[in-house]
Amino acid sequence: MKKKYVYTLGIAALSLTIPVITTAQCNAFVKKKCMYKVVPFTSNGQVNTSSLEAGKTISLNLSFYAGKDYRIIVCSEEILGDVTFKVLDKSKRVVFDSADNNRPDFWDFKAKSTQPLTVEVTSPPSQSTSSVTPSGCLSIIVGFK
Amino acid sequence: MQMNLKFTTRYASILSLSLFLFSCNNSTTETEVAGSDTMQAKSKNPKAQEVFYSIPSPIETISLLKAAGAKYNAAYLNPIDNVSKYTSVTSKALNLGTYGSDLSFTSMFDQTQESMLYLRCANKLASGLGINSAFNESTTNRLESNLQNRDSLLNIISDSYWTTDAYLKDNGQPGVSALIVAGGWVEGLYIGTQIANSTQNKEVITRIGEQKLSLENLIALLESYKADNAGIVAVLNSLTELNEIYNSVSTAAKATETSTDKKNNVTTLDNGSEFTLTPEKLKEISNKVSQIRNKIIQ
Repeated sequence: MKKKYVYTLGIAALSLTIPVITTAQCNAFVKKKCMYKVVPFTSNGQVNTSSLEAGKTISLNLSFYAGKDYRIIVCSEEILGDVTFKVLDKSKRVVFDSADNNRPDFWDFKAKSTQPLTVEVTSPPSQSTSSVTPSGCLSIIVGFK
Repeated sequence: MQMNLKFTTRYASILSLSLFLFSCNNSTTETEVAGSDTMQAKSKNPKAQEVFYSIPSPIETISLLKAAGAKYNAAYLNPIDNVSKYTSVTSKALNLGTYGSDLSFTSMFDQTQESMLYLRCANKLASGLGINSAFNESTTNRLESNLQNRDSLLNIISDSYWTTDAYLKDNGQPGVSALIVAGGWVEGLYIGTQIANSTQNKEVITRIGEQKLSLENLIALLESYKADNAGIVAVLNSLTELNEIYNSVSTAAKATETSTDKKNNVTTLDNGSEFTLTPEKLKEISNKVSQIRNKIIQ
């Protein structure tokens, strides 16, 4: 009876590890799979990486300077599915929606004036019937030139 | 009995390991991102799982100053001899930021010898913070191999910043990383105000005014980590005082317009913003930035 109890406890404990991804693993994934996409731009050197749950959103707020060209890259693990992103102005108006543009994983633009923007990234809800919500690494990389 | 104890110990170990892995390094904040119904589509996502605040890197800021006509002047930089003064984690982090900014400045202006000196300062402070994967001997070697190629130099410096940020966040020290960002931003703004005051270059002065936006994000970034790191509070208070001065900088802006050059597939964003900085306001900002920066490097 006791043996069955600890066996069950062990399986339950193991199941907790399935959706868990460490920050270090995420950053290693980003460095290996994503950072090269910033070329020929220069990365702004900041890590905006998270372990995102399916169906959730993360956002990045930053300002863009007049006269500069930028690349916004959204890099995610396959488990998150077809991730999409929007770029919003200060009034939360959508200036770019990847869902309406063949779902690219990056977007280049020129800033004619200095302005604050928000990049909002969403993972589609999981289609799995499991009670455990999958999660995966996601990073927003910004390059400039 | 012995068999049961063995099983219990094994599965208790698995449980402990699972709970350790389940703990999350990232702080999460939720925020309302929803818009209201208008003619133009607004974001309807109700809440973000996590919100990041990013500010332009010193390389970007310095490149703007250079494009505006700024010239190199070593007098603007934190003296390399100061590096031995920084013994606390807070002062090391802030000044890793200042020296990183100075390194960006010397590299941008092709000052190769000075770049190596500032790299060594950054290396020393990074080592002091336990960051051995950035601004290290390998970085030194890469820089030395690329001294004649400014773009490569700047990419290497940028990589080092990213590696530093990643290391600190991987190791549960995002507050230390935020201090590095703050130190770098203050130094960049200090250099900019020194150039603005000595040249009265209108474009440089405009760039000083534009820093209002970055300051707001920097304050938000520091706010999110102040509970993790006591050293952040003093810096945050100083930057909040600076923000009060910036509050009265007028920033005329309208709704962002997009235009796309279909031939080259490039989109341009324009909200028509103008950052107006009076001479009095420039002086006020310069004095406050000098005060903050001198406290950081002393």
